[in-house]
Amino acid sequence: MTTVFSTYFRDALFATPTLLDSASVGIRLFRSAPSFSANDARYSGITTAAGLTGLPGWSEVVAPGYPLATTVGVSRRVNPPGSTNNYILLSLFSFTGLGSSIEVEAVAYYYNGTISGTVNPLIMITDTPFSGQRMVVSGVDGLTSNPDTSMAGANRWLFSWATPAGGAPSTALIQKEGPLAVLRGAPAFETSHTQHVWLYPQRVNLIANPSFEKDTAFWLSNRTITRVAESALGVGSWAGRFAGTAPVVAESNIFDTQFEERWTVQLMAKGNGNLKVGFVWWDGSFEETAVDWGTETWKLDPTNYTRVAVARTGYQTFQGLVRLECDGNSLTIDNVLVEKGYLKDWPYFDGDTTYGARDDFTWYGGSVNQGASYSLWYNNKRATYGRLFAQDIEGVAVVTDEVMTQQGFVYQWVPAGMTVQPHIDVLYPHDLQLPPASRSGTVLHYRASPSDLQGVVNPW
Amino acid sequence: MSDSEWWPDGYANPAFTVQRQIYGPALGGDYVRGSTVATLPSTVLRFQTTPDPNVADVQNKALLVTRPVDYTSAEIFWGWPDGLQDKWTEVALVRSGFGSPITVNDGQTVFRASKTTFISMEHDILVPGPSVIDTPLQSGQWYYYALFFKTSPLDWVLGMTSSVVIPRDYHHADHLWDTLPPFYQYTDSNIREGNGFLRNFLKIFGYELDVFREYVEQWQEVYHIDKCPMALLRHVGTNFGLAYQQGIGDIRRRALIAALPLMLQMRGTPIALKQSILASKYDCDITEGTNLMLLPDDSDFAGGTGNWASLHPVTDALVPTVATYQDGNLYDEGGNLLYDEPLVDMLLPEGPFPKAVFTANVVLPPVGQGRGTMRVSSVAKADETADLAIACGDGVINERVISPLYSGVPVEPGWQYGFSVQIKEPYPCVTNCFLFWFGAGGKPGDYLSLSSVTALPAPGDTNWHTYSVAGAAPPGAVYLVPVIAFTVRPSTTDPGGAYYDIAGAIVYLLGKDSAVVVAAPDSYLTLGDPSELLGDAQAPGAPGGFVEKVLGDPL
Repeated sequence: MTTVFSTYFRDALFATPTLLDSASVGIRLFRSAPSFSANDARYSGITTAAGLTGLPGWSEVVAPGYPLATTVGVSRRVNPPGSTNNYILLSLFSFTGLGSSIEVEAVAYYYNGTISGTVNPLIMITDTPFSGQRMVVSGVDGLTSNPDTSMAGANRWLFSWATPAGGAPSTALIQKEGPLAVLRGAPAFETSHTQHVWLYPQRVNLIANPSFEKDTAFWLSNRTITRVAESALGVGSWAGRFAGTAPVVAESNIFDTQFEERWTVQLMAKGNGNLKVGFVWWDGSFEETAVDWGTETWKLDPTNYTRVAVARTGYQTFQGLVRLECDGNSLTIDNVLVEKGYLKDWPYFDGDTTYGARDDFTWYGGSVNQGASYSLWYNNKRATYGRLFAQDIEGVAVVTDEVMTQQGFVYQWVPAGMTVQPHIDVLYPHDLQLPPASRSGTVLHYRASPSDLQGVVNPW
Repeated sequence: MSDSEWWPDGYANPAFTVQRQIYGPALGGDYVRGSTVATLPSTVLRFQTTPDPNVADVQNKALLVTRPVDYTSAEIFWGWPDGLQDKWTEVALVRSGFGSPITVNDGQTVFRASKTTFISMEHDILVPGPSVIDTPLQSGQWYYYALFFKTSPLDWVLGMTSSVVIPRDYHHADHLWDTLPPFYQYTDSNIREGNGFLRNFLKIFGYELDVFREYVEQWQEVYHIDKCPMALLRHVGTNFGLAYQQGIGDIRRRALIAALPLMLQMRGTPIALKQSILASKYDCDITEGTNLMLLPDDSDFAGGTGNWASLHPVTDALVPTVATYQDGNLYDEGGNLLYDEPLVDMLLPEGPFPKAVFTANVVLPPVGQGRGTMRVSSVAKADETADLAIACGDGVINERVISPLYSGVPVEPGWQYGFSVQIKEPYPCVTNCFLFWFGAGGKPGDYLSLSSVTALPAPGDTNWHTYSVAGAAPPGAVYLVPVIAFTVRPSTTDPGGAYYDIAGAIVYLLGKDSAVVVAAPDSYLTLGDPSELLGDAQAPGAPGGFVEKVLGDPL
């Protein structure tokens, strides 16, 4: 749990220590954020919250009612009076206004106003309130600061600093984060001892738009992306084409990898030239963009599709994507699949696959995300789910063991009266089933030098 | 205070009565729910559940035949079900080594073809199905085959299942050969060494003997859950108290039986719950809910009234009153909060508690507030009782004392807790909700303090009202007991007396709003008999027996 203070704001505070004496602050929430060290040099120079979203690993919350329109007033307190210890006091920062629950990993506090031409400059970034993990919060919750019992009176503070001695540089102003915390609101009612069961799919295809049936969203290229009316496996009607001056690069959506090391990439491909398949990944710090290109090079056929299936390995992977590189001028792909494990022989699937029972194949977040989210597979989902959890005791005056044996199977393994609440189509506990973020901009650049850690190693 | 001293003098009857009702199907009674919000796209079924009308023509009506052909192969052939010609588009043969597949993804697809493959162009009829040789297979292993037909774009229907054991080579052919007179062996070997006519002829019988012996050998695997033939395993599970469940299929049943010993050891725990679900072949995690009340019936009354009871008189005598509501505030006679009278005055001519009255009337809880409700009522005779207080974890009901030690919610000092409840007050009153904090003794006499008070005048209508109270556990608090008090109740001639319905009670942790610097005592040194606590004696006159030691303290 660490904090990065903006050097831009620090300098402003150094110049005007009363800057926050009667001011207000706002917050920006991030669903995904790299792990960072105290005053991490990668981010301390960032001046606004918008400057973070373009960096690897940073993904701002997208939800109804967000960004939060409210700001909170702050004030400065010198404690003990007459000392050089300055505390910026604030009260509860409520999330009222959020239209849905959100996942938060870090928060950025900004000054509500303009300083030297910079609108809403960043004050600090912290993951302390969330214990460095992704937390689900809603409109009844809020951000606050725990009371500092060493201070009498108002004692909830955002950050503090000691006034530097006269003549000292601005770097002598060293800020310290307050005891920030999430204040939970009243939860929705649920029966005591409710057991929440988070049922995970047996296979997950993490490519958001795997067969281009709707559009070319979620894919990036250094050349032109178009859809072509053909299908590699006879399922669906479209494929994606990346064409232009060689070499051609195609990148998928970024997906969470949950520290899985073994990965399989499958696709059908045709085109000109040779194909390289790379699994690009970042660890939690996002300090380096790593890639496993493997050893294979696929000679593409201009007319017929070739089935490409490779095993790739990443270490301590936090997020990843698939990068395809073709040294020719055209690459056409279809039925792209990425899943954890070395499963090269397993068949392709997406949320529209029908080789199974009804509803065995779904799109993450529901069919409203068809072709725009991950694909999930549970074998015989309806029957198994029903046999595990179905419960119907309507009209039963006395619930006996015999009655319970006719109910969902799980009720034979929990104490009587307990509620078992299943959650399906989820990937982790308290999953909100949020679809992956769409990408914009350009593909990752080649590593220009050994010190250019954010670049991708050139496979050719 | 001994246990007998907890019992109030003159107590003879239950303080009050509560009623419960179970209504409707409980949570989890439907398929494929992404959340409990039924209006979200992710929560509804993607495809309708109307059965495919062609299913009846297909299900279990194909003729599927399997047989071993050598030590690594099986032959499978089948016939088409009657009346099927126009009702399917594809056929798939699926194999599993653990039980009969019930979906096309329950194993390896051995054969898959569209119907057009079997249509004779000359006669426009279906030609007989193929004979499929499945190889290589593992000898000494049962294989289970299922034939599926695709009857609609979404439905693969199970036509028939069959199983086959692939024999190991027990060399029965050699044994037969060895029993032949040397002359015949010599003669046959002179024709083709090792492959003569007689030798090959004996291999026919030798193979059949190997197959026969393999059936016998497989009986030895009856308690080897991974290898036990499914026909036997169905009965093995029954012997262990796990009746055969067709709905989950053979493969999942095998996994379930394999995990059965572990599950039985941990029955009733989240681990056992997880093990039972893992048999479905779905990985999962189990998390606890937010309601901290000890029993499910404490919160939604689906199976009873849990630990709710009339407030214990010993506690009541210790609690400062908050009695009078006036102009939106609580006053004593002098216009201040009262601290010298009991919370509620429950002394009655009949005894120390309001007398119970049962009523047949019950109500449904508000939507999303659990499965049942609790009705609280008291004396009928002109309703002499003006005040009534109930508690969950500290009280008396049905000649049973409920103490915080066993029924209170364990808490941590300094942490914030909340209590929320739905109440319907058909009779006007003032409703108060409290959090009572109790010390480590867990007896009614160990009452420490109460937290914030919510006092609202109930209008006497039939609407549900939400009451909430929150507060931090004070130093020394170990148990939390939620309390509801109905005061300033009017007299009524209603035979049932004034009653109140309660639903959706929840105690929850708001946050750990504790001091910045917390030096927590080591719990291992503070549990148990206080007289045996480790540490130095307190200074004379100081409270408590010892200065508690903390692990790592050099002193």
